Formats: sequence, C-alpha cells, structure tokens
Amino acid sequence: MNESAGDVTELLARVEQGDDAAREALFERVYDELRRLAGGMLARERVGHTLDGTALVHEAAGRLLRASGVHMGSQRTHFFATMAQTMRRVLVDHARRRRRLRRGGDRQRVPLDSVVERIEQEQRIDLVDLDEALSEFREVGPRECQAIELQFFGGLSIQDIGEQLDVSAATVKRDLRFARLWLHRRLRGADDEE
Amino acid sequence: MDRQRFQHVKQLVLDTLDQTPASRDRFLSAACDGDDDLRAEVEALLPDGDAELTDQFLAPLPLTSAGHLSAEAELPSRVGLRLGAYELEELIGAGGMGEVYRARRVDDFEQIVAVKLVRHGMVTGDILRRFKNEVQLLASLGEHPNIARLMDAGTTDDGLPYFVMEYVDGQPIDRHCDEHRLNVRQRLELFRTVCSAVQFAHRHAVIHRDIKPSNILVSSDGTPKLIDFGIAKLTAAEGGEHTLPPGTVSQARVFTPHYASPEQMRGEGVTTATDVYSLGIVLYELLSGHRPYQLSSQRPIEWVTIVCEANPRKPSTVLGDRTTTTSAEASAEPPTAEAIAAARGESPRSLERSLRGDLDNIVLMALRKEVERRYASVEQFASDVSRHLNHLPVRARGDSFGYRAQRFLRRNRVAVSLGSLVLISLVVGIVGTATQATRARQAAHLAEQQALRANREAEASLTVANLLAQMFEANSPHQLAGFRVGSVDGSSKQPRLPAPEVLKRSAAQVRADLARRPRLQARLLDSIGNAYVGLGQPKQAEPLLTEALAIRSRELPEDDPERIDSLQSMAWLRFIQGRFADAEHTVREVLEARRATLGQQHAETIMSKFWLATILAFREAHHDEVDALLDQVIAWRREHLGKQHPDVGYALVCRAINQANQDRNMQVALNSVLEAARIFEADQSTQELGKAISDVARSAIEARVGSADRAVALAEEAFEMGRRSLGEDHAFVEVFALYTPRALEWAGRTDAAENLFQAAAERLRAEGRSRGYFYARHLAFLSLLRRGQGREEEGVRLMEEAIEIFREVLGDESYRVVWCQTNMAIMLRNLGRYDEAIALSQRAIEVAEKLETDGFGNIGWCRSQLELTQTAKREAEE
Repeated sequence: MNESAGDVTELLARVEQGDDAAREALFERVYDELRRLAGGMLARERVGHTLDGTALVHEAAGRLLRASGVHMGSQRTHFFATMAQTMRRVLVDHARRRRRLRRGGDRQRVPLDSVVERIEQEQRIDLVDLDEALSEFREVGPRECQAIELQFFGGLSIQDIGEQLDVSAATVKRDLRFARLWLHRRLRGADDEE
Repeated sequence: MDRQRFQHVKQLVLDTLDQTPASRDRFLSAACDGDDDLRAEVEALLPDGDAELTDQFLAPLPLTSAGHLSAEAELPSRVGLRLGAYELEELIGAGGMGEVYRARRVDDFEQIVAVKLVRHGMVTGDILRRFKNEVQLLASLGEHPNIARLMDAGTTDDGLPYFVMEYVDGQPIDRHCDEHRLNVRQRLELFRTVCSAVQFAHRHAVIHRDIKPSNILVSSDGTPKLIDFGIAKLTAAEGGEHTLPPGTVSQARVFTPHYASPEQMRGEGVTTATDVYSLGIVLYELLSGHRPYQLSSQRPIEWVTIVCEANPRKPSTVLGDRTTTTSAEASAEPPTAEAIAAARGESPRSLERSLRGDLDNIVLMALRKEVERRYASVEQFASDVSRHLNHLPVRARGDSFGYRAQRFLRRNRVAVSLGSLVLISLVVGIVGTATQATRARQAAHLAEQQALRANREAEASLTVANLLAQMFEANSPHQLAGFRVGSVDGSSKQPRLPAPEVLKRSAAQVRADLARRPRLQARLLDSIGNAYVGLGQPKQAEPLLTEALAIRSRELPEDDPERIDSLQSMAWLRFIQGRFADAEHTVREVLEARRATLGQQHAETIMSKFWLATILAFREAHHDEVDALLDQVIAWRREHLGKQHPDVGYALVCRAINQANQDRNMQVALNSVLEAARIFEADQSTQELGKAISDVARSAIEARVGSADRAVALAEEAFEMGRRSLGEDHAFVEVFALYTPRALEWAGRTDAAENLFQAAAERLRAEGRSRGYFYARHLAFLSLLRRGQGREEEGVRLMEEAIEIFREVLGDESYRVVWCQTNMAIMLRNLGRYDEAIALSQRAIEVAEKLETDGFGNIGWCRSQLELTQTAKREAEE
C-alpha cells in the first residue's frame, strides 16, 4: 500500500470539505487500485477461481480502507460514493474497450471481462448503454441518478445513500423506485418481452 | 423534458403506483386533467406487467457495501440492529450469501438466538430464492433435538428476509472430539446421534447436501446439532431442484469439495445417498484424523477425477501420512500419528487395530462411488455403527474382487461409452466422403480435359484421371464405394476403392509426371490421400495430404477454396488418426475461411459446422457448442434440403448422441433418433443403412436409461442390417459390430459380450485384416473385459498388441494410444508391476499434454492413475 496510506485519508478529508480536485485525485487512486488488482487476479483466475466484481471491489476497498485507517462516519460514506463512481467508470471503460476490440479479433481475456459479462448477463443490459442512459438521466434527475448509481455500483444501503444525498430514507426509496422505472423504459423500451 | 416536468411526472407515476390497480385509471384521468401528453408520459413509465420485475432491474450489484466489508475491514456491521424482538449482538458467521449474528431477545423473555440474514449488497434473485428455500425447509422440518430449530422469520426495514434460529453455543464436531479427547467408542456414539438427525430430515423429505464438521456443532453439554440447511433440498420438490451444470468445477463452492459425493461433483441428481456419503467422510475424519483424498487447491480441475475415480484408502492405513491430515492445509505442521492417536486416547498401533476390519469396511461402504452400493439409508449406516459398538457382525464388507473388477469397467464407462461416437464418424464419413467424392469426380473430369490438351503429360495424366474417375465413379452419398479393399476391375456390383498398391503406383506417377502442373498435382495427391484415409491407412495418407497442402499454400492465395479443401482433408486425416485437438483447430480454420469467403449460409460452411460439431462431440468437449452447431446445421438442412432429407436425419442422430453422452435430455435425444428413423424409413436410398444407424443410436440411449435387453436387441438387429446394406466385408460393419457386445456388457452379460468381441477379432484375422484399426479396438475392449474377469496377465498381452497396432495405424500421438497405455498401466499396477506401470503412464501423459486431450483419455484421468500407482507402490514398499 506504500505511499498511498496517508494519501487516502487526507484526500477523504478534503473531499468532505467539498474539494473537487481531491475528489478527482481520490477517484484516480481508486481507479488505479481496481485496475491493478484486476491484473493481479489474472493469475488466480487461471487456477480455477472465478473472479467476480465482489472479489475485486471488496479487495480494493478493503485495502484502501485498511491502509488509510478510515473507519467511521461520513468519511466512510464519501469513500463509498467515490467507490461507486469509480466502479461505474472502470466497468464502462472496460465494456467500451471490449466493444471496440471485439471487432478487432483475438485478444487476451482479462478478469474484468468476467465481471462485465456477469453484470450484462444478469441484468440483461449493455453497460455502455447504461452509462449513456445514466448521463441522460442525470440531466433531468440528478439526485435520483446519484441514488441509483450509489446503490447499483456502490452497493450502499438505503440509509447510507440518504446520508450521502442528505435526504430521508423514504425519499431515497422513492428516488430509487422512479429511477428504476425511468431507466427500465429507456433501456428496455417496448421490446421487453418478459 | 425539463427538471420541473420531470418532478411532476415522477410524482404522478409514484402516486399512481400507490393506487390499487383497479383505481389507477380513474386516478390518472383526474390527475392529468385532459393533458394527454402528460398522461402518455406517465403511462409509458408505469410497469406494464409484474412490478416486481422492474424492481429487480438494476438490483444492487453484489459489490461494495458497508455490510459486505464489515467482516474484513472492521467497518460497523449490523450489530445493534433491532429485528422484531431481537437485537443483533455479534457476528458469528458469514458465508457466501448470508451472515449469522448472535442476538438477544430484548422483551420480557431472556433468550439468546442466532439470526441469519442476507448480506448487504448480496441481494440477487437467486440468493433470495435460496434464502426462502432454507426457511421453508426448516419450517417443514419440525423439531428434532439434534437440529437447530427455526423460531421466527421476518423482513428487515430494507426489505431483506431474515430468520431466527436456536443458538447453538458449541464447537464443530471434529474440534469438540479432539479437545475433549473422545475415544473411538465415544466418537461413534456421538456420530450415531448425528445420524439420527439426518435420518429425521430424510424422513421429512429434506436432503441436507452440505454435511461437514463445521455444520455439526456440539454444545458444551455434548449435544450435537445439525445446522445450515442453506443448500438443502426437498426430495419431492418439483422444479425447486437446483442442480449444477455437469462438470463445472467452478461451481464447487456451492458445496464443499472435501465432503462432496461423486454425484455432486459430476453435477448429477442428488439423493439421500449423498448425505450418506458426506457422513462417511465425516466419520472417516473423526476416526482417523485424515481425509480420504488429497484435493490440492492448486488443481481444482482434478477434484472431479479424484473424487469420482480414486479408491479411498482404509482409515486404518492412513495414520502416518502427513499430507492428508484434516489440518494439513491449515497448519504448517500437520499432526503426527502419535498426536492423532493421543487425541483418541490410544497409541498409533492400538488405534490402527481398532479401526482395522469393521470400521474400515463401514466407512468405505458409505464412501462407495456408486449410489446403489452405498448404505441404502442413513438408518442402515447408523445401525452398522451400532452393531459394531455391540460387537455384532456388521453388514459392510470389503469390496470383493468381482466388485472391484466391475468398478473398473464402470470407471471406464465414460471411455467405453465414447465408442458410441464412432457412429458419428460413420455418419460424417458417409456424408463427408460423398462431398469429397463429388469433388474428386470433378477433379478427374478436369484432369481428363487438361490431359487431353497437354501433349507430353497427356498419357500419364489420363491414366491417373481415369483411375480416379473409376475410383469414385458410382459413389452416391448413401452408398459410398469406399472402405472396401479390392481391385479396380469393377466386377463386383459395389464399386470398390482401389487396392493400396494401385494407390501407391498412382501417387508415384502423379509426383513424377505432374511436377510442372502443381495445381493438378495437388488436386490428385489430395484425392489419393483421401482414398488412403478411407482405407484406414492414415499413415500413408499423411505425406500425400501434407504435400498437397504445401503445394496449394505455395501456389494459391490463402483463402482459395482449393487450399481450404486441403485443410479440410487434413482435418479428416487428423480426426481418423485420433488427433482431435489438431483436427479441431484445423476445422475451425476451415470454417472461418468458408464463412469469410462463401458466407454463413453456404452449403460448405454448413458442412464445416457439421464437421466441427462431430470433432467436438468426439472430444467430449464443448457440449453446448456442439448442440448449437447442430441446431444450425439441422435448421439449414431442413430449409434447403427439405425436412425429410436424410442429411437432416444424420444431423439429428449426431445431436442425439451428443445429448445422450451428457446423460441429459435423454427423452429429447430419443425423440430426435425416432424422427431420424422415420426420415430414413421414408427415403429409398437410406432405408436399411439409415435404420441401422438410428437403431444403434437408440441402443446406446436404451442401454443408459431404458432396458438393457432392448438395447441388446437393437444393437444386434442394427449389426445385421448394417452388414446387409454395406456388404459383409465393408470396414464400417465393424462399427456396428462394436455395439452388440457393448450393449451386452451394459446388460451385465459379459460372457456373451466376450464371445462377440472374440468372434469379431477372429473374423478380421481370418480376412487378413489383423493389423487394422478395428481389430485393435476389439482387442482393446477384450482386454478390458479380461481385466474385469481378473485375468490381467492376458489383458496386458491383448492391450500390448492393440497399442502396437494403434501406433502403427494412428501414429504415436493419438488419444487412443494414450487411453490404451493408461489402461494397460492400471493392469500392470494391479499385477504389482509398478515401475513398468509408472513408465507407461508417464509416456501417456506426455502425449496427452501435447494433444490437450479432454474427455476420452483426458489428462486428469491419466495423471490421477499415475498418482494412484505411485501411492500403491509406496504402500507396497512400506
């Protein structure tokens, strides 16, 4: 974990004070960590362990948090919010690259492939489409969009989302419910047969 | 849509959803007040069917979450959370999907309970289903003193299900036994109590499926309690069954590999016998402190092979082995035999003595690979334990030799049953050769034309061209000429392939005379090579086909159809040689090229798909891909050739065999075969041969799931028909000849099977065909039968001869040579000739690695056999 230990704590503190540059820097750190881990997991995947998002993010978050000594309160929520956004970008970037490379022929499989595949299969969505839909959604319903992002990509509880967005749990539930309906129509449209 | 409008729509949508379905329409009319656009927008967002489905959309990923991280990153967990009358106090366990907390009742009753709830961020449909399943099972189970009982169930504020169970303040049974230094008798008594709990569950139609020490907690007063019915299942449950796809090692975490039965490992149906097996492993550990197998976490791929095939050692013989102690993986220093014995109040010597005999037999009986040879019930298992405790004779007996021999055959059944795939090669052979024959005819015609024009070459080419024309002249797809050795005089009513010497002469001629016409030369070399393949002489074919390909690669662009044809010929050659990995790679190349140059729907592309499916099926690999390929082939043929075309029938038979080989969809497979049979029956050209083929396929299916007698009858009839329609001395008759004895063997009529194998071998010998592929195959199977009869010396001799012939015909690098060598090594091992066995196994493994064999003669099997020999040798030396 080396140099990053103090780093993350400090960044989190600054994020909490609304420092956008710090948010961006934290984002970069998480992003690097996720990708580095993904690479490291390739070896394990070979011997038969299937890699999934759980393992990946779990490990990344665990490492960063242990290293930074972040435990409690609002710092934690901020951290998970960042984690959620990062996860979105890691996955979408990768899905986009897959799309590009698929046209280009053979390439080596990497662990993120199975993560992306699993999500796309389980949810029957295309991550790149989802990303675009979320960006559109953010235009009209910024808070609703953030709520679903925090839940879907970050796995935050209703309570944590409420804390992060500074609204009540009931509001979070309404936001989420509507976000699902909106995105469902946007992504599945009329052709959803099930 | 602007933000204000968005909020308005949102409000309306959510409000509408709060209405009862019946009143929604009225509510919307009032709320929109004639604004049709608004109403349309709202309605578009309302879920039109099951609202729950939309709720599942973008359900949280099982990724990060506070709850999820709590165990490791020491984040605040759900301790302190109040659920109904209970307050969570401490996290006491976390599994893949759930967390278990110790909780305290906070109303008037003072009570400690265990609360299980779904992990944060792990809420997927599947997990919720499994969770509900567990609650239902526990509820239906009722009360038993040795099963942790269900007390309450509910839903958290977040909508997650939880349930409340009796809290067992205890240790896993193995730790309990060791820490309390229970002796063998005490351990057996405790185990008997555990059996009564499992028995009780079975009586309520519940199979636990995950019995292991950590799921049997013993409280401080010594009462064992069975916990965690997380993956249990109801025996009678319809559709609730959650079976694993076959052969997937990655799924192994759903159960615990060390305690999983062979049928679980194979992903087959699970019965109460599965619990008997797991209990057997638990008893093995409690008694000996060892595990029966060493399952290395480095090589999960081999677990299936080991659990399904390796013979467990007797518990009394393992005390000194420090690689298989239960804690071998966890601690750096595995316990010594002395330590294990001491924990049981004995010396290693005396412990060995008390395990030897009855207890060895009892444990091994529970661990038998075949469900039907285990204790029929937990009750029987427990009663044998009781009988032993009461010094009465026990039911369990050591394996008889006959049984071990039988098991050998069964162990090889995977390999044996693959013989049914030879049938596919027959089908493809017929069709594939027909295509090649057509092309050869065209080549011959072309050669003739060119030869007439070319002065100097005229004579030579004409000779060759005529030769080839004769060779393939009367080949119709379903009455192919090939594979019968004879002259070219055409006196027989059936056209014949030219004799090898004729081919040899023509090859020499083509090489000498056509050097300046490389394309023609390549074409003819290709044809002659294919003829050799048809004669069952791939060795002779190889240089010709290789040369043809080299010429075409040099002279033609990469995607030229002629070059691709050459690749196809190479694939056919590799297939016949048994070099399936090579064949697969080549056919994939062909398929890609044809897709690119001819398009998806071209007849040749479809043919390549058929080929690929055949090879994959033969490798016992990629079953799903095979199914998909054959579906495409069948659909294409139905559309372009007509539903009743015999080629549709062949593909149907192929698909059926692929399905049958996976031991699933047997009914679908049978239906396909019957459909094929109807097609063949209606078609003049295929009537008898077609019926023979479909009957053989039916026989293979019947032998597995139906009546053995019917299987035998079908196989016998098919053999007769095949012989009639192909001609008595047609090489492919031998394919049919293989089925009857195999069906007999399945039916347990090994004597009759043996007679037939012997008769077939003798027939070939009499015809002077004792150096060929089929002869060797008969020898190999005869050898296995011999082994089953305990006549291993003879088995070794037969196998030796088979290997020699196979190497001659197929070359050294063939899966079949690997398979034979490994089987021979097993026999050598049984004879105590360990060093020979080890050397042979090592040679086989070397080739297997090179060929990437899977399925038949697969690397894992070869390796585990070597390991078994090495173990046997070590034991013998001790």
